[in-house]
Amino acid sequence: MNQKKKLEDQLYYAGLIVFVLSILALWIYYRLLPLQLFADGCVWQRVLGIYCPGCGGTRAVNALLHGNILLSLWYHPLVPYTAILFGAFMVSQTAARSTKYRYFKGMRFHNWFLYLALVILIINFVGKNLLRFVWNITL
Amino acid sequence: MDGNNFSNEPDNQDNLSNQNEQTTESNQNEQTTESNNNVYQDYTSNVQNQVPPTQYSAPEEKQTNVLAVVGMILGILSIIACCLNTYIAIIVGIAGLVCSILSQKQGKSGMAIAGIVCSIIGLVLNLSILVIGLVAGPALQEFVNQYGNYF
Repeated sequence: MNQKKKLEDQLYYAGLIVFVLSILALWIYYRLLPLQLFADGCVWQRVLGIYCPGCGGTRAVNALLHGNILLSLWYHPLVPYTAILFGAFMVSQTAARSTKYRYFKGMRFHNWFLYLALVILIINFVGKNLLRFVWNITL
Repeated sequence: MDGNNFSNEPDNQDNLSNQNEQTTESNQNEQTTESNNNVYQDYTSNVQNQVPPTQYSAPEEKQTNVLAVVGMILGILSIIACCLNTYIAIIVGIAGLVCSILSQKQGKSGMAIAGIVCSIIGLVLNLSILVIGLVAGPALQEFVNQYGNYF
């Protein structure tokens, strides 16, 4: 039980660092976009002609930031999945720590969160390419 | 009444004698059982290699290492980041591989193995794309320019 608590403590502090770094990365991304640092697009699409496992991720983040959860789910389902799980974990843990665990314990971390993320990634990669090459449905 | 008493006296004496006999028999039986118990205890006390009583302990729950979790997250990110930038994806993949291997030293877990697999897949995909882009990039670009963007 103590090891579980220790794991969640470390994940919480790592999550805080990731949250700050992601805000910094978003700021850099929107600042550097006019410089066309990432303007080449996906190398997979240019070289192999297929969607890569991360294709649609940037559009999904944009859609999520604009409040379009369903559109974000269509572009890349891993983005809203991660945002919801990560947000729920961080908010509940912050609330529990600020009240010193008097009212609730906060969301627990389970290993299947990551395994499910991997399954979503694989299904999205296979499904998007099937939609593209079999039914001509593109992103 | 007297006759009854007279007639009952020897019966009472017989009963008393029977009771005494029974008590002596029961005492003898107890002594024999005690002696048997003593014999049994002697036999068991001479046994040297006695099996200790089994101790039932609750199975310990496998705890996931933080490095294993971070390694798997970085492995998944290295697969996803190929869309963003190949160089960043390679760096993330190497970091995930190192974290997963370090977590294996503290204890083997499925999460660490999954992290190693994801990192290796991400590294192989990104390195192959990088090599293809560097070696055959201009030729592919010429092909696309000549025949149009089929895809």
